Amino acid sequence: MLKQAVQVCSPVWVPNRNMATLKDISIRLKSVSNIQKITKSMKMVSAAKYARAERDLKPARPYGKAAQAFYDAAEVETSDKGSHLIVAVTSDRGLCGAVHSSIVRAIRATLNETPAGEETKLILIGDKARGMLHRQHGSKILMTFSDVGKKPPTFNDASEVANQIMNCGFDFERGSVYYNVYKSVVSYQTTTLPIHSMSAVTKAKNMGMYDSVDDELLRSYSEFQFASLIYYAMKEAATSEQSSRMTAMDGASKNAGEMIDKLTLTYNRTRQAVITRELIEIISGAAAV
Amino acid sequence: MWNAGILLKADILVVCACLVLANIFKMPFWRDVGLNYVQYSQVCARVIRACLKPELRVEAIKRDEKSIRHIKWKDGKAVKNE
Repeated sequence: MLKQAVQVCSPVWVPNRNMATLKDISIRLKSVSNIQKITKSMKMVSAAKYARAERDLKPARPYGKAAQAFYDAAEVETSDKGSHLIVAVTSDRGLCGAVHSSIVRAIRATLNETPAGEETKLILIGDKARGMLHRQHGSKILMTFSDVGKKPPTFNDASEVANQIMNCGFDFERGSVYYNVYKSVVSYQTTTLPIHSMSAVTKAKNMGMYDSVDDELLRSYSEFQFASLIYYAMKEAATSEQSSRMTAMDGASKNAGEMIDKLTLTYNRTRQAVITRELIEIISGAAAV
Repeated sequence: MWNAGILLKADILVVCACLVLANIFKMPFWRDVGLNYVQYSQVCARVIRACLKPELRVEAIKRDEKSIRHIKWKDGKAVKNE
């Protein structure tokens, strides 16, 4: 009644400050709890996806280990000069902590260290790496791959990447794959894997220890190992992404919970203040009469 | 190029011819066709999947999926795929 009277009397409508804040707080409270619902369900989804990714990772690891062991035993030399091919393994999806940006940061550091004369080309798997690198290093991008991360990576996906890289015509002397190695649910590590060019493999010091290896066999095997390495890197990256998303969403839900607690407290306090004020107004009004 | 999920007679022919000729001449003939080992083994895998018993084939063909797409870049811009 009183409020209405004030509104009618005043020439310009001025909202009652306390009432408005109360409403503001309740709107805010509602939106924060909606966000918490979303982050909670995202956490559930990524927990299910993570469980599957971790299960799939175990059989995928030997692919990478075998390829590395072969090159290590043959003592293939890795040069640190010459044209460089960088493969970044990320995905299309965000909201997963610093998984993608740590890859991009590592690549940026490498690009900054590269002397001017050396040619460097980028192969970017996933939209996130493309989004972060195309403005600064667009001219270096050779190829990008999209539609990564909706489904778990398959060997066919890795084969497609390997095929496209082998057919792209860029003659590289050294190569590295940047990806995240899955350590545990809460940790991953950004690592690089070397890619060896065909000439480096044939010139390897210790290749003689392998029996009956001719050029053709070596070439076929290197091609297969390349696809295996990519497959392994994609699997590791997918698992660390899901685990990191799980942690990130867990943190987001917790933060939202804290915010809800604080907002509820403020809401109740404001509500009480409003009631007190109204009481004072009524009482002083009655006293005046 | 290769139709996923469907057993093509061409696939079998390629693989059989390669196996036979490779045994005779000790030379992989798929290399001459312009395939690399990865592509060749993909064709082989597809043929083997298609040869499975029907109840196993359904599961196996699911593993044949490929979702990734490639986009070539030139001079800092994406080039449309042909």
